[in-house]
Amino acid sequence: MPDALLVRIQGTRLALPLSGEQTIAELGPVAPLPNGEPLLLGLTTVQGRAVPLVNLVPLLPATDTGPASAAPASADPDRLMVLTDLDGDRVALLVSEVLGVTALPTPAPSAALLIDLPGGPLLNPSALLLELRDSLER
Amino acid sequence: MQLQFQTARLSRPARPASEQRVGWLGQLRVGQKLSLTALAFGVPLTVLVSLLLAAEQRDITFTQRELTGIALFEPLKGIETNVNAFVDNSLEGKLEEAAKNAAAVDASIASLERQADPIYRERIQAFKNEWKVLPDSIGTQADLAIIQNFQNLIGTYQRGMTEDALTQSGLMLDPVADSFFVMDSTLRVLPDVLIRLNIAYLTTEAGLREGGDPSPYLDVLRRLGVEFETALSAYNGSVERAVRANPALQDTLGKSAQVFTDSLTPVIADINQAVESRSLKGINIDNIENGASLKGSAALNTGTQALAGILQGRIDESRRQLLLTLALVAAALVVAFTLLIRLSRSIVKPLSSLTRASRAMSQGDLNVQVPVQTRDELGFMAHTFNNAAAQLRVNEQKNVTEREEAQRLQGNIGSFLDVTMDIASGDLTRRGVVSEDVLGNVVDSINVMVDELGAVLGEVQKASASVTDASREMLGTTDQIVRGADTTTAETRRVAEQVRAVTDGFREMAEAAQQSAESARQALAASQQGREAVLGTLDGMQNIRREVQGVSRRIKTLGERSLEIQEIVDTISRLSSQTNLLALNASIEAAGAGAAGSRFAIVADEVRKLADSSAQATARIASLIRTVQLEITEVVTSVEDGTREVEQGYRVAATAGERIEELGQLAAQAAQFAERINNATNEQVRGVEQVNAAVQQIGQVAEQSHESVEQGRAAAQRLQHLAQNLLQSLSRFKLPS
Repeated sequence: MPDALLVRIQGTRLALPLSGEQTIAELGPVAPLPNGEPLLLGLTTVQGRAVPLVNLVPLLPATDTGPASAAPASADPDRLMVLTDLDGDRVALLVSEVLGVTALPTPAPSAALLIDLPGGPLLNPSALLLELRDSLER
Repeated sequence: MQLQFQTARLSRPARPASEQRVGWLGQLRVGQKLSLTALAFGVPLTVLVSLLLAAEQRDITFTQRELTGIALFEPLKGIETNVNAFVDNSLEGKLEEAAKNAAAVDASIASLERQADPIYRERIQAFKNEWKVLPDSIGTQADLAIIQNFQNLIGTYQRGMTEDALTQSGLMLDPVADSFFVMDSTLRVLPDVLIRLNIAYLTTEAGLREGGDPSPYLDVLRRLGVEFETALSAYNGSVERAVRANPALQDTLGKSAQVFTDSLTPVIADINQAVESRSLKGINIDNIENGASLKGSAALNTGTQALAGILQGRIDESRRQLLLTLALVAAALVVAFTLLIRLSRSIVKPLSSLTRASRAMSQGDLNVQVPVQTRDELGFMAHTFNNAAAQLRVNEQKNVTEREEAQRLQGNIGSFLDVTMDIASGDLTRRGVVSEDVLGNVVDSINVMVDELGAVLGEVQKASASVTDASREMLGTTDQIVRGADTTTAETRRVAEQVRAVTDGFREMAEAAQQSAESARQALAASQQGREAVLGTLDGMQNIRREVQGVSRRIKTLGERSLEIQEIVDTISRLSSQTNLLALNASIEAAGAGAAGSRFAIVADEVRKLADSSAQATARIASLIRTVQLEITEVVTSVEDGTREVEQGYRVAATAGERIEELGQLAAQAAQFAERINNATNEQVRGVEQVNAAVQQIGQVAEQSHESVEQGRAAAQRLQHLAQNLLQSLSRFKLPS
């Protein structure tokens, strides 16, 4: 039963696998990078280190909550970020809210970005790293 | 724990189940196994060496038998020589010497019989019987017949006995070329040649002695001549092969054979000459008896000695070989035994050290050290064992340290939980003890947060107290305003009464124009009183305006205070959000610490709940403050409305004063201009009616300002009530002084 960090990114709730490397911080100043959009918003600083800031929203499936949820999503800008470790690379993920720490069942090995689990979808760091590399090479 | 279990299993010597499984090899010690290995190699080697030595010994024994067999040819040679001498002497008539020779032949036969094996004695017995018949023929038969008998006897038995002796001694089976051919030439072929030489001598001598027809003798000699050549070539062939096999024999056997051949050649030539010339005269007897015969004996002796020398040399060589082999085997055994002892000691000694050390470790002594002496698997095992022991010591030390740290952390968490429970129940004077472990940073942060929270709540308390005071002062002020307004109302009523009286006066003036002067004086006095009343009204209005301005200022101050409270509430909200982040990060750290962080996760969760309740309280305060600000805005609006009304009333009252003054002037003029009174009376009535309307308007304004002030009072009371509620909410927090 590995631990996971439960977060909300705009309308989507998902779990990040917890490896003890994660840190939650408020969003600081962001220096944009050329050709980074829409996934890579730029560089920001966490604990005195420059790390790339990743926006997961373009990768997440569109939520079917209608226009009613679109207004609070735009009115509630993401002001938090979770510093995490993607196969040795440290990146910051932009999140709307951190809900807490929970325990999830061990997932089967998968190459999908989001692994469906009874407690909610679990983010696959290796798949995210591949998506990021694909996006940057394009 | 696993290691202890394994060592316990190893150290348990007698376990019936494992005894059943372990074979007899498994029950042996390592030293015994090594000894068994040495035995497994040693026994076949010993058998092999024994077989080798036995074969060597067999060779020696065989050669010794051959050497002994040579001795058998002494009696054989004696028999042949003495029988020959006996025949010679008998034919020459030397009976005494012939008898001696016969005795010598008997002695030789007896000697041969003694030496020969029982299975070969039959032929000797047969020869003995034949020999006993031979002397009987002496004197009764012709010489040639006797020689024929002799030839038959020797030809029949001598060769057979020679073969028997060779077979018995094993010389016939000699495996080496030089000794075999020496044996073949000297002991088999040469006696044949010598016998034929003797027969040739006897035949020639008998022929010459008889002197008759030599033909029978020459026939015998012709046959012998042919046989001579054949036997001599066989002898020379064997000698040549022996010399080829062993060139050292050239000096002995080769030379004597050459001398013998050289001496025999003229004899053969003589015999051939005699046969051709049909006369025995050409044959030199002396050549046969003293030349060839002696040389043949010498060749026989030389060959026998050479054969004995070769065999003796072979025996000596074999013995040396045997001794050398024995010495080598003994040396190899000594070396192998020494090596085995050292090898087994080098294996068993480290194993014993390891066993002792592992037994000591299984009994809990982790300070064991096996000295590493070798570079083999045992040395590696000892090195590994030492490393394992060192690792176990380090692990034990680490376990003790971790246990102590965990106990300390547990104590700190327990005491800090008590502190956080007190803080959660509102006692903000409590502080957690900052320890040096991972909890210290969290406790320090929470202490700082509680400090700031206490300070902020103190500020809020102070602000709400000052709001209470200000609202109380505002209530006092509004009371004064109400009193002023009441005064204004009373004054306006009085003015209305006066105006009514003035109106009555005017009406009386209209009715009694004659008394207009008096009436005009009365009107002047009345107008002066009216003017005073209007001045009083103006003063009252002035007071009302001043008080209302004061209220407006205080309410603005109250609005600024509520903005300050709003900033403080924002600060608290930010602190709650940061505390929430801190608590979430603490939860992540606790999850990363595994089982040791589970209690810490509870603390982090408590802190997060505390931050949540702080955020909720802050949200409630912000809502209250917003309500207060709305109320204040309403009060400000009401007060501004009241101020405008008061201004308007003041202006109206000023206008009334001016009119009353004009009225006085008119009344004064009326006294002087009585006739103009009637004309002016209508106008005055209208003017007084206007005054009446103005006064009524003042009264209405006063009433309206009274209502506004009442509304302000109600707002101030609500403000005071809210401030008291806020104070009550804050009273559950015990704040540091």
